[in-house]
Amino acid sequence: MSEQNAYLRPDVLARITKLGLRAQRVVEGTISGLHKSPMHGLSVEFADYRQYTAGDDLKRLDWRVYARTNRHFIKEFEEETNLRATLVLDASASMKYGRGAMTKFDYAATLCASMAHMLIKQGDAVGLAVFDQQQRELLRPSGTGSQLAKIVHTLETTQPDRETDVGSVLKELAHRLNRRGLLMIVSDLLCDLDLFYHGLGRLQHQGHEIIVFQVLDRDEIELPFQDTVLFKDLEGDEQLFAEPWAFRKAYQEAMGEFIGEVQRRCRFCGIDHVLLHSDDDLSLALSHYLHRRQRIAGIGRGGRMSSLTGGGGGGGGAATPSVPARASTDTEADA
Amino acid sequence: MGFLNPFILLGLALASVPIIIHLLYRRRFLRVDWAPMKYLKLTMRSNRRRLRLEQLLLLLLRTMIIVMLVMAVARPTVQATGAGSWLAGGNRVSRIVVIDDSLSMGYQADGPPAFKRAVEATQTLVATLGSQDSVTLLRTSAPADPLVRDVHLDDDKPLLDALGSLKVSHTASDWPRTLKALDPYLDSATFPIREITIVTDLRKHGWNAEVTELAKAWADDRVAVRIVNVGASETDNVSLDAMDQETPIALVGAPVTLRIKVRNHTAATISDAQATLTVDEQTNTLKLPDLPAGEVTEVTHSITLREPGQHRVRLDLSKDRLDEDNTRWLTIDVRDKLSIMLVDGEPSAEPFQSETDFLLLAFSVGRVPWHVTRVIDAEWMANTYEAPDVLVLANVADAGTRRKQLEKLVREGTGLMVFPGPLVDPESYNRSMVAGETELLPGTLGQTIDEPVTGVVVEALPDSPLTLLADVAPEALARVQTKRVLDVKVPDDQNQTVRVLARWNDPQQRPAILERRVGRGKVLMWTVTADKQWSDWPIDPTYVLAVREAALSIARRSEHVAGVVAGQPLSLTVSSDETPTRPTVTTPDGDAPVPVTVEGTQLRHADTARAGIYAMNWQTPTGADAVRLFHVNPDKAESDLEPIDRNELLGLFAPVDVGIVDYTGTAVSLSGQGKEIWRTLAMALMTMVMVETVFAWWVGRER
Repeated sequence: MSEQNAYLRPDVLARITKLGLRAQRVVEGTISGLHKSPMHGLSVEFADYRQYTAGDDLKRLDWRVYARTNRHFIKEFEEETNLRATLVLDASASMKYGRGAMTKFDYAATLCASMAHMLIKQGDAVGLAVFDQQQRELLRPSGTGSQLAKIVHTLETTQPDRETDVGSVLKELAHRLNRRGLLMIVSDLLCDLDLFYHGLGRLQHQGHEIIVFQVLDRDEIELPFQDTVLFKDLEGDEQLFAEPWAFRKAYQEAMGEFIGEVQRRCRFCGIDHVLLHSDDDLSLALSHYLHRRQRIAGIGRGGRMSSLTGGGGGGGGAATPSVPARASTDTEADA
Repeated sequence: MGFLNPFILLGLALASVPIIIHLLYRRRFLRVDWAPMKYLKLTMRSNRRRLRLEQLLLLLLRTMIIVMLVMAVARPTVQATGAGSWLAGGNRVSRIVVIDDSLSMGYQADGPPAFKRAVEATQTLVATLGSQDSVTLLRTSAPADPLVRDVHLDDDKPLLDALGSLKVSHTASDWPRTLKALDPYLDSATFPIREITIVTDLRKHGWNAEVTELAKAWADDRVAVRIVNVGASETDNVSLDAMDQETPIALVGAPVTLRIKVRNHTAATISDAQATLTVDEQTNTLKLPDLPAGEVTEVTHSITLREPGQHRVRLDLSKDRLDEDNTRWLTIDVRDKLSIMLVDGEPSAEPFQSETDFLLLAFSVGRVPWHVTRVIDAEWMANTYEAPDVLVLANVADAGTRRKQLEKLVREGTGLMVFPGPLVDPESYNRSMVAGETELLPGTLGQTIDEPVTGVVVEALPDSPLTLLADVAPEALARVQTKRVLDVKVPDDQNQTVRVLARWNDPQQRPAILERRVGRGKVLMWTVTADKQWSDWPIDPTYVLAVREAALSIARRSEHVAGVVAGQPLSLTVSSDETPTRPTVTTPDGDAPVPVTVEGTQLRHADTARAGIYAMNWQTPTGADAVRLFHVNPDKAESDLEPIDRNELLGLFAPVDVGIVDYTGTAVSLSGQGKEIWRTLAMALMTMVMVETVFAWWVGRER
């Protein structure tokens, strides 16, 4: 792979390009495409019936219904449009961790490049937002051929650093993304979760569809170390001396609780949550997710994140309420 | 707590090894840059106290294992009381209990006698012993004959009964000898912890610096010593220190003088004291003079015995706090005659012209049964005579030809008296009776000195036969005149077998009478003739006394030693052709006769702890019963009841740390140096190793 295409891996692209990504919420676009648009028009996809009113085009009158019911109904079809997707990539210092072939950031960047490539190939507009404590880069969604190159360049020139503040970043994004679209947040979510949930709620309130890709290293979940370890905080100066075997299970339980809580939150709010391990085969993981997404297309989602965080915006310090269990639409890459 | 191998405690430094390993282990760690610190901290915070406690416990456990291992190897001991007793558990002690049964232990102050208290204290000790310890119990009077040796008292009643039947002896304490006798018991002790308990009255007599040498060896062997004091602080006592036969040879009908010594150990003079003298079965009361405080009073008393043979004499003082030293015994061997043979070298038919006329007269006066035989030198040379008690050679020219016979006689006890004269050739005498392996005469004969000398000076010597003469008639001796004397050169005698009893009052102070001990007999050499040829002494009345006392002093004595101090063995030598049959000894306590040890021609009886008259009986080859009496008297040293200072006693035992316990009539603690607890430590060590193994696994498991 050339230097320019460090995050564009052919095996990943080959596996996901044919699958495509279909928006499950209505999105606003300018051209006809794969995705449902709020503007009904000529289309093969049936949308609804409505009472005939004077002035309606008689071509759209459903004569079969008139024959059965003796009433006049106009048949409406959904108009397909292109998708405006934004990849939101966490470039904080915590993403530098990785003892295997790739760091979490490498894995996340590859994921972003792959998704951008797939979306542009299917004619959708893709943007990229890179953040740590604040938004570092923002490439507005575009479906042009040069957009992919811009995104890859941005990914390659980004070095993970500083602490994470995803809450304020999502708040800023909500201000800057006026049109509804798809937001794919790629992060380890090792941040203030209350602020993160608030940010999600605000974005949901604006009508965005959200997918959360949570990228974690398997070490961070399993704490596999057999030696005494001096842990140094990647986003601070704190150091901890510990013998991991003495509390490994407790740690694994704590991490399981953390991931489970995020999953339950997202599930309740109709947000796809995809847990990815940095040593997972990304092509398989994305393929699995996209297949799954196609299967469950059309299943309605429930609440909004804002209903769980106590309001549509702000309130970052509020306590996180518990989330009731619900039928899963979550995806785990290795499930 | 003490340690049998204290130097091993240096190994306690190893206890720091687990700590060092722990610290080194903390220096080896993996550095990891970590993202989910929040959850790591959250987990550690909830587990930190438990983790620290586990680590601390594990470290403590490992350190304790090393400490206990080192301590177990150092073999700690604890006082066997309270927790120490519980810790000591199954450890065992070899206990040696020494009961002082010396004469002073009979002292009775306000309570019971010290010996009775000693027995009580020992019984208390024995009763508290279990069967786990081994016990050796002995008395100071017979340390080689313990009551029990290295036994485990499953049933202590026989020993307690044996203790109750013990009696105080009349022996003296000799602590170095007694304690030295403990070495075999210490060497053969069953258990490594050995403890000596001495039950005594803490009197000073018997303790000396020799104890310190033993104590040093004991300290090296980790032997513990404890002293139980049963004595009283009072020291008042009146003792009969001696009753001796002053008259050298007791003859039938002749008075025998007894010299009696009484010591008053009190602070006041004792008046009107009396003593009871028992001779055979006859008892008389002796009125004693005033007995000054702190002094020894000597009394003489004469008795006359009418029958030949051995007679029993016993003298008793009035009872006091220490009754054991108020009685003394004596056996007197009374002869029916004293045989004297005079060999006359210059006989004469004229009165007082013969060489031995004056001697015959001196030995024949009085009623005393002296049996005097006179022969001329030719007869003596030609015949063999029964050995006399005293043989006198007066101016015998060729005495040297009978040298071997003379030497044999003297060696076997006959007294030999030699007078010079004109017929005596000094050179011939010197060749035959001075030269050779055994010098018979007390000096080398020189030339006759023809110088008149006036006066004889008696030397102040102990046991000199002339002492009485010097006391009775010193002025008469000063008048003795000589015309001629034989010069005798006194040898440089290293063995002090020769002494000059009297000297002539001349400038050279030439010897007048010399004495030499040869074997069991004595030889007296006079330097003037036995007649008045060389001096006028034979016609002086002092001459009679001089030659009689001289004859008595050298006369043959009884072969056997009849008197010993309590504790010393009795010994009797019989002739080689008189093999004794069934020899036994009857003790003063009236017990059944006990067999006597026969060693060749010698009969021995060792157990004389009790004073009194012992009778050794046997049958002669002809079937006749024979008996010999012995008197055994208390050791007078024990009558001095001065107590020993405790610090002095502790100093004697240095470096052994001795505990002194005063017996108050109640229980006596057995706690001495203590018991070993290595067994308990070993058990605890094994338990801790197992606990450490399980705990380390538990701490190190996945959690």
